[in-house]
Amino acid sequence: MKSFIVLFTATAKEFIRDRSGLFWTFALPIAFIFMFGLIFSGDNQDIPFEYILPGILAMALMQLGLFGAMQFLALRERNVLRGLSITPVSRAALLGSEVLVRLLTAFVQAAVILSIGIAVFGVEFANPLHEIAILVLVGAAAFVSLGYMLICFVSTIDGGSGLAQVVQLPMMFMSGIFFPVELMPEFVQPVVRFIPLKFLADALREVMSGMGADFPLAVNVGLLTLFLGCTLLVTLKFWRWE
Amino acid sequence: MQTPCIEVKNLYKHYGDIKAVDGIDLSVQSGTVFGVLGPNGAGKTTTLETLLGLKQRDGGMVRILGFDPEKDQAALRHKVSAQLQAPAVFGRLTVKELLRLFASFYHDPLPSEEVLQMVGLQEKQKAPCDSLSGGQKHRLAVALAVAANGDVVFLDEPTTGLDPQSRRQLWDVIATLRHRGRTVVLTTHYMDEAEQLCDQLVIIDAGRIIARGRPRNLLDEHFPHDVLEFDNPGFGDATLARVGELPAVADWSRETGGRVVLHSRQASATIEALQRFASEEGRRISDITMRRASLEDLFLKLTGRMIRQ
Repeated sequence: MKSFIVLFTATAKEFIRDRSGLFWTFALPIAFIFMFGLIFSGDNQDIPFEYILPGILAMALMQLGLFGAMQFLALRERNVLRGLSITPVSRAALLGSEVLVRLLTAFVQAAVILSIGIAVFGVEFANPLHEIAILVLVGAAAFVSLGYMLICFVSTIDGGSGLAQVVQLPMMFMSGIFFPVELMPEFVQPVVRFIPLKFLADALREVMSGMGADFPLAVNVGLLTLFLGCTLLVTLKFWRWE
Repeated sequence: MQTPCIEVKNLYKHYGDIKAVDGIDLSVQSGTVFGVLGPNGAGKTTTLETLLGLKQRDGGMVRILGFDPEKDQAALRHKVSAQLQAPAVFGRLTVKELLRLFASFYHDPLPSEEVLQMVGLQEKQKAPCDSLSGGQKHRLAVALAVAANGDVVFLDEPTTGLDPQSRRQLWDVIATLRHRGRTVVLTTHYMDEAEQLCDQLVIIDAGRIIARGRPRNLLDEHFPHDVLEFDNPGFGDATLARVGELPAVADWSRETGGRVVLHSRQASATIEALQRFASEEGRRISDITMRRASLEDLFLKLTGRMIRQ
């Protein structure tokens, strides 16, 4: 336990001192909020801000999870993890502290995004904050798990970030986080319905803004949890330290 | 006779057709500095990594402190440390933070201040690890291995790429470890380093051991004679022939530029006799230089190649 705390502290320091990481984690979602906030303000109310905000939160959580695993991939591919195997530093504890730092960051991210929504755009939430918090946790866990699953199947750092991009870009544009899926062509709709990011975005939208979606809230949360379970199982099956 | 702290029998590690380690036997006594010498690509690092269990061996037996590092890794974690690329883990931590982090995992680590002093990184203690130069990172890696304060320390080319001052500093670190009863296994392709530091050494070439022993003994065995050189003070051929008959002279020759080279079984006796002989002849020899054979010469003799080719 003591060694976990020590590693966790080091991992957290490492994360906080990573300027470019912080930029992607915080600056990007904030920029998106203001961009969409300004586009759809005043006369242009095609897509209400209450629709956009949960989508941006979902996107931020996905990126946090997906790209967090890339740090670990780099350690693995540079043989750092192999070297650690002969020291008393526990690699599992190192991985655990990485995951914990990500999950905690998810809450900070959510707090920042929600605060801006309230303070700048006067958003009011349909449900209490703790319900949003639970969704944030499940969503972050699901995408952290997806990230670690992906790095099981690549053996270079470039391959890892490429794969992460291939996974995240379609999810971002096809899951209706910025505009309703109904606006997309008919033939993609059946596929789009089952994009994991959509489960999270729809669930968040229902809890935060009271907007209904394709599936009821319980189904979305269930599907998201199922996705978390599946990625976790695959990760455990194919995980390698070296 | 102590029991050996590291025992290796018939170690093999092959990559396809390449025999990186091709049947190596080692026996390292505890409390000594053991050198693995050889040119780049001779199999030194692979040997070390296989000893540590970082690479799986294809054959042979390895015992460190009585444990097999492949099977009993857990038992050795606190007792054996190695200079590795660990600084890459937390590049944004400062030197001191990283050292403290690693030290905290060991039962009885050395104080960070002391280790920083030993490797000469005190002034960099607040610098992020990522900002260090190559040589400084190297020293940090050594510092992490030293901080563990285990019984056995493996150092892989600890001084490669360091400036002369830092090299000396690391030599002091190794001497300190030895003084404290630690066992040090180091690889190097610097022959002077091996000669200075090692109690025992093996010379490896193409995955095989081509010589082993105490550095001094090895040299005495292969180069029983000291080499003396001086400028010919004007001796004629007949006089030079008599120089060749002086006490302990095994061989002599004339080099270009008027230098005379003597191979002596006992340098002091030959020098004394030479001086007396010269004054009897009414000459003065003032520039006798003595050169002892180095491990570099030995490697050349054994393989026909220079070590850094």
